[in-house]
Amino acid sequence: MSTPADTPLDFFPPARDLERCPFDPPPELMRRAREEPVSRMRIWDGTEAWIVTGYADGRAVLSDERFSADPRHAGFPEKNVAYATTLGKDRTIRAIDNPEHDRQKRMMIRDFTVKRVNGMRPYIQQIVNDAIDEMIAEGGPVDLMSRLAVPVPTLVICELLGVPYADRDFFGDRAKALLAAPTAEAAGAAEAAILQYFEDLIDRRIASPQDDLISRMVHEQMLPGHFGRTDLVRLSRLLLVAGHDTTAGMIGLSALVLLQDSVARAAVRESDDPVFIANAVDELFRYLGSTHAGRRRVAVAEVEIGGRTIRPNEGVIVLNNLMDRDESVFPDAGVLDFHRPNTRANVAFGYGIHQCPGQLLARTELQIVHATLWKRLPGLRLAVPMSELRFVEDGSNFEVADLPVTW
Amino acid sequence: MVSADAAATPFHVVVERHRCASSGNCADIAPEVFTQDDATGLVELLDADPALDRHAAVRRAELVCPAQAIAVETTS
Repeated sequence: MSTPADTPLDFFPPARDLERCPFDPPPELMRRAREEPVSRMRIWDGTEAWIVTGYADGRAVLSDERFSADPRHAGFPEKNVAYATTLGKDRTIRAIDNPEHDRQKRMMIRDFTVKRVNGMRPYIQQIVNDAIDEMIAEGGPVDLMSRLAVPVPTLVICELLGVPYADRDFFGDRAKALLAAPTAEAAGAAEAAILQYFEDLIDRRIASPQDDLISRMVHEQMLPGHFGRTDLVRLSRLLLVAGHDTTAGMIGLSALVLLQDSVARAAVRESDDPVFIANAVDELFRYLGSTHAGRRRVAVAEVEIGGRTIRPNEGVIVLNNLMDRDESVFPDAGVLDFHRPNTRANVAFGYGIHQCPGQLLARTELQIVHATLWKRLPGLRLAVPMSELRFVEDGSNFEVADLPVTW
Repeated sequence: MVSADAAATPFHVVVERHRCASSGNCADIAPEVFTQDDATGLVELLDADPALDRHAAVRRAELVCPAQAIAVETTS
């Protein structure tokens, strides 16, 4: 992938047009999706990567073993300095290829099956009810991020892993730093604290197993010798941050979309149909594409994608948020349409073997939040002008920093 | 009332278990046709020749499956 010295490449990610529509991808990426769907950009560390924006091209990359998810390969386009320092060094399912990927996933997947997630619905409903009860008791205005969007996924993932509630604030702060710390030092410090916590928790679960994922992994995989202790510490950390940050961001961003759209809000508030609510949530995932840093891969063989030749050790960034705005798959893709028939085919959770294992859980959390919030607080509204909201554009996820609301 | 034509058109579901990524999408979308092994999350086919009113859900599961592990054979 050589570039003529006199043709400077634009940096990825380009800026969004926050004043026009914060929920749309950056205009430069929308232009590329129309005019040059496979193109090159420069990333944070100065290296180049391919940018893939089309639905079919993106699915082709993500389902092809000639593209590796393993950051140890030269040319892998890591997301940022925090990832390069922490999660990118893990040998967990996020960052390994088959056959090891499937072996590891099957050790933990029993806690993410349809049956298991459906079994968690009453618990999730209870923590959503409790969070809203507390907001009502206190009275508005409150920050919806810290009062609902962050606590719900934090409590759910803590329950799944077996992390005591008392430790949840500790995790919230450090999970954030792991994903988006500005320096390697800050990311490393946050990482050390979390890894040590899981070391201690594993010791406790060796002595007294509970009904949770870490206890099962300790007694069924680690102690019999199928899975290393270091790997279990790092898998626990991955599940904690992945389950917590992305879902919190999506709860906040999807709530903001509905606060701005009275028709969509009324449709959700007035519906008692779980099929409609599920489709609405899928459409919110498609439309918002909040995991806008894309799926990162590196070619391990020469592959043609969208008429361009990608060579070994060239990085590829598959932009799920642009794929989900592909007009050939989702007509009027820029319109939020809760009756869209194929919106479940969105790739907000990725595609291929690395599709997010927690997607059923995340979708369920969003369904319960939206089926509950608007009925309990029909007068919910922003407590500040939209123009005063602060968006986080440069992280792994696109999200709103604070969401002051009243009712 | 199922039309004679529709009833006569084969609709045979095939899963390639070795491709399955344990996503659970199919068991969520068409629970009468697909389920998951409790331990491994791998797909299990409950009904290889589902009734007409389940065809749309099966097609959606086929489209959504991240591992392209589901296929529908419509020729006899």
